Amino acid sequence: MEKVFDQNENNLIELLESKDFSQLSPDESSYVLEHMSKEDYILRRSVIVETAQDNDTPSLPSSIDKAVFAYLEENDDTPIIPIWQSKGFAMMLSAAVAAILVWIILPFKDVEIIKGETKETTVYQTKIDTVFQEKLKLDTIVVEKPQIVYVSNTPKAPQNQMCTPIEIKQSNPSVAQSSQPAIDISNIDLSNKGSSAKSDNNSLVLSPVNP
Amino acid sequence: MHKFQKGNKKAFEELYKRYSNRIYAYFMRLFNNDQQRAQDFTQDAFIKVIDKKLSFDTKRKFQPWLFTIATYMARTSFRDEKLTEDVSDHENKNPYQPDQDLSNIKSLVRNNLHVLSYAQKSVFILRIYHDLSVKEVADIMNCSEGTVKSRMYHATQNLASQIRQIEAHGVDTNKTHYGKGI
Repeated sequence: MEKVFDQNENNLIELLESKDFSQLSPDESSYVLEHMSKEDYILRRSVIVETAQDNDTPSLPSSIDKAVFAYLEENDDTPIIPIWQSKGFAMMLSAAVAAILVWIILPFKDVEIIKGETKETTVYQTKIDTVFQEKLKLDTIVVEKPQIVYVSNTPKAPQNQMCTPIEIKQSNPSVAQSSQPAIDISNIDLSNKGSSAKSDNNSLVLSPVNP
Repeated sequence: MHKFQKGNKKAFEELYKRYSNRIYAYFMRLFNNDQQRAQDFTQDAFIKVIDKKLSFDTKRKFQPWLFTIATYMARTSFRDEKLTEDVSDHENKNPYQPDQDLSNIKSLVRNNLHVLSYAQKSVFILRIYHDLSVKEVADIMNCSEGTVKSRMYHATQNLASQIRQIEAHGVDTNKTHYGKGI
């Protein structure tokens, strides 16, 4: 049966464990002084603080060590775990079960059972086939091409100057440009020519045409 | 401790090296520097650790569990000898220790823990000497945190009162009768 504890005791011990009297706030110090004197607080605080610094721990004699280890050797009652309860066995069993399931399930996954005409015949036909898939991949290619721009060097006449159109007379192609013969054929020597040339009346052929 | 549960004896040796002197010191203070008794209880405490290793919850810390075992053993011993909670019996039985240094509160406290009841002493030792939290002490003592604080309050009150009494009487061995033993 636990004793009923006083809340004041709990508050005071928290202060005693955490603060010196000089570190108490005015409220805390007045609260403390309602329950104990300043000297009492300081003494109890020093009991806690100085005892906490007492690290003198005696060493256990080696005879106790030997006795404990001897008992350990004699009473090693580490339970022997049956193989079916060990983790390794459980893992191996799980792997075996998984392998069996794979072996049973997977071959039928992609197989269609086609019953033959007779009841006794069952044909297994795999549905696996190769599928070619063509993909058209469109992409934009930018080609940079140098463009040559021709600029006319013809000087432009100022707009205020009126150009006089040139009148071109249409010539008659059947009429010679000039009445003068282009070649003087009067002095053509036909002595070294053949009879054919001599018989031709070249003077008539080559003579200028009179309009 | 988890390794020790699996049968690793080296793990136990490591635990023993780390905690045996702490448990021994705990019993020494509980039994007012009775070395023989403290040694016997330390040995028994670690034998219980060996015997009850499978009951240890590996999610918890080892030290509070070990102190719980030690505290339970000491409490049973105090009950068997009908020494629990009876402070007045100690005062008359225990001889005065002449090596007490009145100027050293540390030494005065160490030699006058017998003025505390078993419950106050256990709480004070665990909280102050072994630096356990109020919650850890409450778990070990199987009581509430408020009870731990209350016991701490009365422990410091009794120790301060005892020190004041010693200072008032000086070192006259004929007037004071304090000392070691239960």
